[in-house]
Amino acid sequence: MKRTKIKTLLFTLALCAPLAAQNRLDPTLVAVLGGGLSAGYSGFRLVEQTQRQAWPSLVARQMGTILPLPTFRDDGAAGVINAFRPLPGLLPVVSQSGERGLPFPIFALNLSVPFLRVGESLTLRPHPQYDGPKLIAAIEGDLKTSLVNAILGGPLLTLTDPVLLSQTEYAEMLSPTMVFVELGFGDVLDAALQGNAPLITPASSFQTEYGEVIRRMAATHASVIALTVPDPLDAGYFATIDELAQKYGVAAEALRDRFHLASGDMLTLGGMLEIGDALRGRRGSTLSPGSVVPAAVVTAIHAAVAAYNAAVQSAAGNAGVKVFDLGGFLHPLRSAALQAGHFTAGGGYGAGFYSEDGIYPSATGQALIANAVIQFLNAQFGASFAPIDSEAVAANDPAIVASHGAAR
Amino acid sequence: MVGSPRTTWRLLALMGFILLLPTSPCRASAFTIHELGARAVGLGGAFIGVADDGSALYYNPAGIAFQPGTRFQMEALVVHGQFRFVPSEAPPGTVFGKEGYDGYIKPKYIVLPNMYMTKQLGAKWTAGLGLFAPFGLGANWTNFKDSDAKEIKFVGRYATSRPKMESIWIQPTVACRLSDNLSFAVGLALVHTHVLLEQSVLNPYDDGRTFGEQVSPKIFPAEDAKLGGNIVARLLPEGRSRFAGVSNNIGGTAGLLWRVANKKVRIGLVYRTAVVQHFDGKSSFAFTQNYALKPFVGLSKFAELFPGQRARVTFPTPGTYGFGIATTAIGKNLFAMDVQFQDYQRLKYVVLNFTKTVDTATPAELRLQFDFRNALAVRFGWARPMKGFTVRAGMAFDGSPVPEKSVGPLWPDSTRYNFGGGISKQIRNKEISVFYQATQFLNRTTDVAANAKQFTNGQYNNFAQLVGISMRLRNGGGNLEFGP
Repeated sequence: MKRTKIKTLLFTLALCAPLAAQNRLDPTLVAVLGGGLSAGYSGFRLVEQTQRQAWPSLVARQMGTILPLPTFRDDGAAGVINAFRPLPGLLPVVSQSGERGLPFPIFALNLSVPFLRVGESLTLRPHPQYDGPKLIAAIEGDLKTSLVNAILGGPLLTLTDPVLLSQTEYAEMLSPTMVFVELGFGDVLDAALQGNAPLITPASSFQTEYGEVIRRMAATHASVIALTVPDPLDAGYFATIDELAQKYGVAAEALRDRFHLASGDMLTLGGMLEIGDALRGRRGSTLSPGSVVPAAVVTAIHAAVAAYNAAVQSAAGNAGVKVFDLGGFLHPLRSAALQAGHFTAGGGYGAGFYSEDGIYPSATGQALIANAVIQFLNAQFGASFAPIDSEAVAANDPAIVASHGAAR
Repeated sequence: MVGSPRTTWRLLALMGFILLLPTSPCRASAFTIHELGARAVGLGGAFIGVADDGSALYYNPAGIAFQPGTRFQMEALVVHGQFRFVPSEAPPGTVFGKEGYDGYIKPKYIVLPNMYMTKQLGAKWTAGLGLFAPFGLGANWTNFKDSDAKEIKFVGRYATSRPKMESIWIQPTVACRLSDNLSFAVGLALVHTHVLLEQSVLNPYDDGRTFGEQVSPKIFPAEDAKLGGNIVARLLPEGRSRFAGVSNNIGGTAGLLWRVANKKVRIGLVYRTAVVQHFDGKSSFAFTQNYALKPFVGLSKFAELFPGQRARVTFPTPGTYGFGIATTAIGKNLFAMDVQFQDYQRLKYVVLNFTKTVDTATPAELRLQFDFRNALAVRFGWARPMKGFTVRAGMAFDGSPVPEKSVGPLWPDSTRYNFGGGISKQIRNKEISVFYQATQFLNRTTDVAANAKQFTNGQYNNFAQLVGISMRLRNGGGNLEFGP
């Protein structure tokens, strides 16, 4: 039956000329398929406050629509699960709440799930567990499943016949008028965090899977905006040897020799902190595992991101989808900080753009991304959405205050 | 033999049978059908002054006073209407051909039967009975099945997908010759009208939002209900509503015909009453099976909210005022001209009253605003005998009463020009007439902000062709037609 309908539609498409492509934006129902950056992951966790300050919510508000969120309670106690951490003992342990905020919407429109890979956007569905009749959505030690259960499941899991949909399926169900696709970051992030190249999703798989996501979103006839994949090594969580040498006022060569680093290696946040401690004489010169991203992995990640972005452009071109260059927006931050009114938000760790976790943006960083997206929409669709007052956001952002304090 | 009681009863039985046949539209302005009588249509419809055959019961009943003997006339018109709509805007992804959608009536060729009978009762009085359809409309934009993908469904279906109205007048008439050259007639008609109206409901850009706004607080608590309602509207099923009803009312007509200038000039006046139709019928609803909200609001809930129920529709058909003049003073030619005015302005709105309104989503009253304006038509005709035949030609200007804001799949109307002609052949007491008429509607492009949500703005291109045949039988009284 379904196949017959598809055939009928294809046949009709072949016979008929579709209405001229419409360049008008209808933000009535905005769906967001993304990862942690779009979800509002910040400071090692996803909570209502950070979710509301994420760029999709800000852009939706400026477009005059709402973006119901699968919010997490800030003080949620039940089902606490562990987020990623740079190195044990170096930063306070931050817990991820597994409880949804109240009142929660029946349907969420920001479907972004931190750490989700593009293939998982197509196939990873909620997987609730039960203790007798009791539903257990948050699973200790399994961050991704817990997040998927809460974000893509939520109230849908409580039904007699639970509705279990992947991120892409969920978006299709919503019949959106506008879709943002911000996927791919999760496909290289683990490799960068763990310095382990095999964790990178192969470019060929990415191309196929990303192409399918875009094709299916375009088939909803929504205005689809694909965002390019940022290079995780551009984030404040990572630093080159030269950047670290400059920060600590030592020669790069000296750092390489003392800490047995190869040319092209990068340091993680843990590595930066350990080197700082070592230079202050608080520890020896042997870095812990996970402190260094080997040059080969760095090269592999750069190559993967480049291949991913070629795939993004290709898929978008095939589907007639517009592309916002998020990667291109974030890349220069390390060398050229952005202004949020009187405040400066740089791309290095603690420089304001990124939150405490160094990977995901602060409130100011999210507002600056939102303004870039709004500028893009206005240019591409002839809209006139007002920008966010990023200065007001920065004025109340601990990340900005902290960075200015550090500068002083 | 026409005229004997037995034959008369047979003819009446035949007329009754014809009443059961489907009638459908060949539109004049809005939903007026002016294409009655092959001889009349051959004259471009300019027949108020002529009124010399059975169709005078429609055009000017006073004309039957000058038709001696017993006469029976039956006719069939075949209509081929080509209605096209090219929307100027459609929801993203909507697919349709370059020529837009067609609202062809299906089947494309419709037979429209009418019947008239007159009998002279004496030197002064003549009686007549007409069965004809002076009002009707019909289009079928339903180019889809409800289960089809929404991208290929008719884009204006939330306005209307299938309107149909058939109004049959059963009109006994008496005419009196007030003098040798002046007659007057009145007719009282039982007006039997059937209406069918189908359209989609829960438009995600319109009524779906109203519905969504009410349930939004349950779906998106703590969010703006209006904005949430806009989203909920996209999570609802698409509904289809259908109303079918019948009304029986009384209408009437009156006419005056004056023969002057040695009977070479005829002047006619006619009036047909407006009729406020009160339809009593049934309204029913059905919904698509797959929609996002289904796990929370099942189809049974929609069945509760939109129950099948008895409903009433009130709908006026206009009054008609006509003046006609015809002359045979120039050679063997007949020239005729009519001016017709219809007070369509009385059609300001159509009211739909539901009966199940407690704990349902069907309102007590639904008012569809149309605000028609009055309509004027001018018609010209010419006839002349040629080699044993009578040939006719005519043209008409027919102004549309439908304002731009009401143009849509229900009223894809515009001012139109009719061009046509016909031919008759008389063999003893029988006459066969045929006609052809082409109706060219002026292309009409609408751009009404309030209609954008229903996607009925765009270009309407209509063209209609009509072919008809009529047969007249005469018993007694001789050939006293006016002109050739």
